Parts: sequence; structure tokens; C-alpha cells
Amino acid sequence: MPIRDSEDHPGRAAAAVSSGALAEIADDTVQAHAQEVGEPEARSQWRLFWRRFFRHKLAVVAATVLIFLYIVTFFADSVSPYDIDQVLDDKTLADARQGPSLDHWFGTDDLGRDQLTRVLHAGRVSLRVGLLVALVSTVLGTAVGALAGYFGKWVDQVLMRITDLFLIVPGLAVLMMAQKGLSGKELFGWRMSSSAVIILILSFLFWQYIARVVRGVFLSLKEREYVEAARASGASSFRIITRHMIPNTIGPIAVNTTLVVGLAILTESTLSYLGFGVQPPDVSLGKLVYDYQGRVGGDTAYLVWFPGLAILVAVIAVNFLGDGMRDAFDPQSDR
Amino acid sequence: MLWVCWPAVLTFVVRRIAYSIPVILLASILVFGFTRATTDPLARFTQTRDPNLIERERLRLGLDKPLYPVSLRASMPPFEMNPESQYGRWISEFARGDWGESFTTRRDVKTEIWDKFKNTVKLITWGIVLSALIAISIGVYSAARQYSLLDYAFTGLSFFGLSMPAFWFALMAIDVFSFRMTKWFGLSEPMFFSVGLHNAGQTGFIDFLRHLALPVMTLSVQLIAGWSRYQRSSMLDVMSSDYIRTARAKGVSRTKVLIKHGLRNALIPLLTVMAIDIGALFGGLIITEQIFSWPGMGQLFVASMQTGDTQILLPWLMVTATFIVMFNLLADVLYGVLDPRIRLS
Repeated sequence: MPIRDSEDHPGRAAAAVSSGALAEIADDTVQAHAQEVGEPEARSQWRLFWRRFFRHKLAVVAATVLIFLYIVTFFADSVSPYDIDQVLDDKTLADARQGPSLDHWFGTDDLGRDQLTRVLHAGRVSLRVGLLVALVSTVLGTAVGALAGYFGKWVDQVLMRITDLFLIVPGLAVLMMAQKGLSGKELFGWRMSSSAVIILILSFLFWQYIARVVRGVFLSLKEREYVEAARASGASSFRIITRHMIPNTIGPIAVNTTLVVGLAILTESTLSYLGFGVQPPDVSLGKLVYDYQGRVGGDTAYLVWFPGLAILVAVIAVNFLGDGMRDAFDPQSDR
Repeated sequence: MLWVCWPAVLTFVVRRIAYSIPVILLASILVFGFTRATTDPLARFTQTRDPNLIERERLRLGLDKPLYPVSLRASMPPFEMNPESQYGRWISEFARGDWGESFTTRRDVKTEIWDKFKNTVKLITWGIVLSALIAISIGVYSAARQYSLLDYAFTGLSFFGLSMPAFWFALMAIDVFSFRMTKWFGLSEPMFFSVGLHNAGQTGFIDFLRHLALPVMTLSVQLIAGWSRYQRSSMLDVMSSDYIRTARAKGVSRTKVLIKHGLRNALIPLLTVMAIDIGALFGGLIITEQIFSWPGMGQLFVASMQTGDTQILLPWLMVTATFIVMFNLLADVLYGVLDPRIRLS
């Protein structure tokens, strides 16, 4: 298989792979079926993606950092150096207000509790919100965007008018009011925790972002020959959307899902900082900054540095990853 | 210089304005329902000992009336018309300029919002001017010296700017400029202050600038990060077009082409993006104003949120939404006026 070729000429490589795979198959119908499933081609497309992605050093580093952060915070209970519910005995209290050291990387607070432990646990909440918001809004946004782009007409009109309306109200203000109004309320008989409310309202804001992207791609894909061919051979709209169009939209969807993770982490931390985010017992990184903001300028200012730095590192890793993915999905990005 | 076909521009502008009126009206309907659903105007009376007070207030504010002029009912006919509705009363008073008085301060809402609005405009104006100058310079440089060391540095910095939580950056700026610098240089008072517009008893311009510096810095970081990226790609786009090559081939100097042909054309898309961002700023300064105790619109919103003052929240949302619509309109019009290709197509 001409792998060297595939780097420079994606199109030729794809043709070479499928003709190689098809050489053994004589039967015409099987051939047509293999082409429709598109398995050999899909595999090589992904290989091209990874090839381009790994060439993007910064994105690889960002992905590694991000995976590391997710693993470390997910297992925060066993990874963190101290217990989150540390017993406040004399020994702990003697450690109070110590700056960053080998024992306490991020220092300790007024009660001698380890700040790294608290940042890890708060980071778990923040990163979880980011991931879940991205997933929910991607599923919702892809579904609505696909319908609007494929069927057009009134579905499209309704979607575009709704997103227009969301654009003209100040987002942060609306999020704050929604959080205050919804917290403590029940949804289908299930009492929502503050982070569930946050995930809900952030997804409600971000889904339209994905929907607009998917709609845009669908509008151009709709005119492609393979969609026309599928329709001519009797494929249902559902099949065309799920088997042909969505797989070809996977690039923009994946990139924007990644970017939404970063946006969601930032927005959640902002809301929590303003006091309209996750509420105790949950603690997020923004809440930690909020709790210690009075320390700015004093000896214990490090209590503010590290939670904010954690947000910055996570979001910048997400953004670099998204940037790298965008380049990797774009066949014209080789320079 | 700029050839403009006025009748065409006029119809274009009028059409855009006509389109934005129903948008604002629809927004007012949604904003009203949303505010009523999330914020209870009577919540501030939960501690009261007077059992009739809540009922009296309810009647005074008309909260016993149906929400909208038209409501869906299960009974026949399907639509019920309500001549007296909360929304109807509010929107007619709002349109007539009778915005009522604040629940908490008892001041006239219109003067309250106008006072805060002026302070926000001060902050925004300085922030925009500074950000635009820096962002355009960075964008032009990065495009002129694409893939140079500084270009990479600016790209990296803009990633930081866009990924940085604004509130944390503000706190770090206070940490360094209001406290640590004072200590390092042994000053008697901080170089930049972090609270309010003026020190007590002072009204001077220098005092104002020393209060302005940190909020403007916070505001500018994200604007510069976004706008410089945009200006860079817009410049690169323009610089690769045919008329630039023609100008160069005719012997026009590199700098002159860059500024007279490149920058001028690249500014058109940037201006529209700036207009949209500026519109969003009127409601988006919540964090900056909150941290620096800047008595503007953002701080007014947070204060009204905490007291559940719907008398202020509703007009606040309407005013900011109107500004966003107005500046989006301005962006459209600017684009149409400055770039004839858009208007004529």
C-alpha cells in the first residue's frame, strides 16, 4: 500500500486503497456496496487526519496535557496528596498559611488544608461541566442543525430566528438570571444540583453555536453528487443524513465540540466567580477564586493564583487542541 | 475618495432598521416572560411581618393579572384575549418612557440607568480606542512579517488572552499593580487604584486615569486578542489579492502598499466585527465593573440581581438588547457603505 503517497495526495491515496481492496472482488453488486459503506476510504481519511495532527506539535502537547488533567481530576480522591475532608487537628492547623512548598505544592489555606487537593477536586467539577456541556450541546446542535440544513424551509427559518434572538440578549446576564431562577427547582421530579443547572443552561446557550456550524456545512453538502446519488438509489432522508452527511461533517463538529469545552469551562468559572455558578457542597475553580479574592496583594495571594492558573491551563490546552484539529481536518492545511 | 450612491444606501439602511423593530419587540416579549419566570418581584417581602403587605404589593404591581395579552387556554375559544395584562401594562409604560422607580433605592429607574450608563461609556470608550490601536498595529505587523518570531509570539499571546478568565486576570492585575509594585518601589500609595472612579474628595483627570488603568487593561486583553487575530487574517487576505500585486508591480513602495491599499481594505471587515463587539460590551462588562467597583451598567445589574429588583432588570435587559441590535445594524450598514461589492450584490 502506497503510504508515502497518501501524505501528499490524499485523493490519489484513497483511490489507490479502494482499488486495491476491490481488486479481489469481481461481483459488481458487492463492489457497489463496498463503495457505499466507504470503509477503506474512511480508514485512510482517519489515517491522514492523525498524520496531520501529530505533525502539529503544539496540539499533541495540548491533547496530552488535557488528557492528563482529566485523568488526574477524575481520580482526584486517590491522586491528591491529602484528604479533601482533612481532619482539622493541631498538626493540620500548624501548617496554616504556608506558601507553595514541596509538601504543599500550591500552599495551604487558613486552616492548614492543602490547596492542591482542593484545586484537584474543584477542577473535577469544572472539567466535568465543560465536557458534559460540550456533549449535550453537540448532540442537540447537530440534530437541529442537520434538520435545518437538510430540510431548509421553515425548519431553517425557525432555527435561524431563534439563534438571532439569542444573539441580541446579553448572554452572561441571562445565564445569571436563569441560574438563580432554576437552582433548587425540580425537573421531572428530580431535584437539580447546582452543577446540573449550570450544565443545563450552558448547553442551552451553546447548542445553537454547533447548530449554526452544522447547518452551514449541510447546506453545501446537500448539493454534492453522492447525496444526490444516494437519494436517486432510494435512500431515506434519515439514512442520507446519518450515513452520508453527518460522517462528512465530523470535522467541523469535532473542532467546535472541543472549542465549546473551553468556552463552557470559562463561562462556568465566570458564573461561579460572580456567585451564580455551582453552590456548596460543590466547589469549582471559579468558586475557589471567588472565595480567596480578598487575599490579593497579601501574603496568601497564592491561594488565588493557582485555581485561576488551573483554569487558564485547561482552557488554553482545549483551544490549542481545537486549533490543531481544525488544521488536521483541513486537507489544504499542509504547507 | 469614497463614492457612495446615497439612494441605494438609504433604502438599505431603512430596510435594516425596519427589520430590527420586530426583533426588539419579540425580544421584549421573551425578556418579560423570562424575567417573570426567574425573578419574583415579591421575594424581598419574605421577611415581612405584615400579612397584608404582600397581597397589597401584588395588586399594586398588577401581578394578579394574566402575563400576556393573548394566552392559550384549554377551553373554547383556543385563544383568550386579556385586555389587562402584565406585559401590556409594562410595555406601554416602557414605550412612553415611564420606567417607574427602583424597589431598593426608590430612585427613578431612568435616571438610575442613565447615570450608570454614562460611567460604562467612559470605560468602554477608553478601552475601545486603546484596544483598536494596539490590535490594528499587531495585526498589520503580523501580516507584513508572517511567520516571523514576533508573529508567533503575538499568536501565542492572543491564545492566552482568549483563554484567560477575565476575573482572574483582573485580580492578578490588582495584585501586581496595586499592591506588589507599591511594595517593590516603596511608593506611599499605589500607582493604579482598584476601586471606583475617584478617590474620596478628588475629581482630577490624573486621579481618574489612575482608576481607569486597570479596568481598561482587563477589558482590552480580550478585545486585543480577538481583534488582532482578525486583523491579521483580514490583512493576509487583502495582501494576496490581485490589485496589491498590480500596485507593487507598478513600483509603489512596500510600506505604501501595506498602509494605503492593504490596511484600508482590511479595516472594513474589522470595523464590522468591532461594531458587534462594542454592542455586546454594554451588557458584557459585568465582571470588570464588579471587580473594580466601577459604578456602571454591569454593577447595576449584579446589584439588582441580588435584591431581585425587576424594576431595574427589565429596562436593563431592554436597553442592552437595543444596543446590541443597534450596533449589529451599524455593522451591517458600515459594511454596505464601505464595501460597494456587498451593497450591489
